[in-house]
Amino acid sequence: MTLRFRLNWIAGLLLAFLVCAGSLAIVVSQLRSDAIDKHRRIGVALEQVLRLETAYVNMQTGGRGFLIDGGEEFLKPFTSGRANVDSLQASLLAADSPLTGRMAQALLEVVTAGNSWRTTATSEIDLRRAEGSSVAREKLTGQVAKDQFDLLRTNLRSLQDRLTIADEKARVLREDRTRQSEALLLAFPVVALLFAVATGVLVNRWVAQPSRSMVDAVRLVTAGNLESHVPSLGAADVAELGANIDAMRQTMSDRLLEAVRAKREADRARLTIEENALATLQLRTELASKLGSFPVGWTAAADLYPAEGWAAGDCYDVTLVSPDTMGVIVLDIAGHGPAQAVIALKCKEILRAALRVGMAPGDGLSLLADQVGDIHPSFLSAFVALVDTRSGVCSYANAGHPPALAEVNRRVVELEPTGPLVGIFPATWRTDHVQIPPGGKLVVYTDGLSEARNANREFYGIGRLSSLLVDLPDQEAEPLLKACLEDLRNFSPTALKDDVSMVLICRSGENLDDT
Amino acid sequence: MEVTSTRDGTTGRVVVAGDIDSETSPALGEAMNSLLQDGVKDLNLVVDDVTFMSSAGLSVLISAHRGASRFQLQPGNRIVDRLIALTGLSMLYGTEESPSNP
Repeated sequence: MTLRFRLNWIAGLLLAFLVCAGSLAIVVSQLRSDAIDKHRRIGVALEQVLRLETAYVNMQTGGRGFLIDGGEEFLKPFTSGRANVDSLQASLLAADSPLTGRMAQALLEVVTAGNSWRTTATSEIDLRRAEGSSVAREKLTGQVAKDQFDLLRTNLRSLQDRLTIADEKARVLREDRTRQSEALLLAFPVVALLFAVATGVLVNRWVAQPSRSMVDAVRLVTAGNLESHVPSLGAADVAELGANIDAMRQTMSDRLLEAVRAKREADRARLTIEENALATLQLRTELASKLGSFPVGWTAAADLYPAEGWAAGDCYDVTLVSPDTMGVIVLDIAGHGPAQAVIALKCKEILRAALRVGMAPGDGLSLLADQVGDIHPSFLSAFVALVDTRSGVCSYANAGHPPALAEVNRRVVELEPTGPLVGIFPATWRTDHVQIPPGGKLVVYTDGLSEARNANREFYGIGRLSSLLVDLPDQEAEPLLKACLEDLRNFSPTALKDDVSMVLICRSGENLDDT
Repeated sequence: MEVTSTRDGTTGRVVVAGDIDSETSPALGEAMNSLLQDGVKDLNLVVDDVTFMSSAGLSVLISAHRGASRFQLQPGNRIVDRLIALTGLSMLYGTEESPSNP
């Protein structure tokens, strides 16, 4: 049951109480007023009856005096008494007279007896006046008049007795009504007080107590104790408020737990990233092999720029596979990232092993294809070469790789693919040969270099690299490589979209075999 | 890069123009995969107005070739034809021949 419904009920009860109490007060007041009025009118009637008796006695006294003395002055009390009697009887017989029932009957008996006596007394007076004192005393003071007056007196006493009883009853009723009225006046404040107290108790139980409990619980929640439940107490809507606050607390608690979990996961992720970064650094080191020393007259340099900070999919290796033979490996896995870097590393090791056991570059690629199998959706291009440092003969195989460049006597020869990409379908790779004379160079690169773009979206291209090789003076591989990469950075200073690897092998211009 | 794909029964046709590199190739792959998932068996790729294709684009073409019953790359674009020749992936032209060495 909602608080609003309950308060409406209390307001309804209060209104009903006020209506009933008001009506009762009006009724009781009216009854008291009626009782007072009735008591007053009965008192007045009793007084009138007493005066009526006095008037009749005066008439009877005057009449008897006249009958005995014959003096007209004796008739004055009779005459004035008769006027009073008429007036008093008329008043007592009026429509609003309080004399009803038996009292009215007793009054009629008084009036009847009075009229009878008055008729007799008037006849005697008239007779006395007509016949004078000769009228016999006995004739004028007959028993009839006396009996009639006695009856009248008896009736008057009877009426007085009844009125006295009625007056006592009216007095008692008046006092009862007065007490009832006073009791009612006293009861109203008491009942109102009780009503107010009851209302206060109920509102306290429905609102104040639940509110205090909720405030205490919310204080605990505010202080950080999110496990402290907020109670649902009191009226339905107040209890619903408590339930909603508790639901909000539960949501906050859940969110906090989620945040704590997210932070833990973020910490773990950060640790993982840090560990991956270390692994990536290690991979980069492995992908870009440190070059060793080479036979006199030959220098080599290489570098690898991973695209946008990732571990590269490019990989290179230049090493001596025999005292007089340099092995050159450059390969490019589609895509870049740790997975591609690991595949590249694996491929490099396979190719290096193939060259070390004396396999021709084309056969080495076949071995690689057999070993790695289908690596879809990835694939790789590779350039593999063996350089005989004594004769300058370079045996090479190109698996879908951008043409390597051989600079021979200021002329650049493009070493085109000798077979398809590796890892898509079974294939074989042909081994071709090119002579690197004294002063000659071999440049192997990945497509990240030839497809690097400048701000105008122009490609770096093979032509620019070829011109650079021809134009730069003969020198060792290291400074030449730096010059080439510097030219690339000048062309495309922003972050590279793809990995760039470049291997440069230079043969000195002096024919050392002749010395 | 702009990609337009149409369909006629189980035959789909994708026309691509512009540069196909690591940034744009996913959209081309999505267009071709969408046709293949909708039941297209024969897929024709028109590259007349392609201005560049990187190895990422090549990877998308190889995936489509594997997913379709018959995949045919329309020859005639010098840039694309040069890349296909270098990589030895002439099977993308839809010929029955095995890829031959260049």
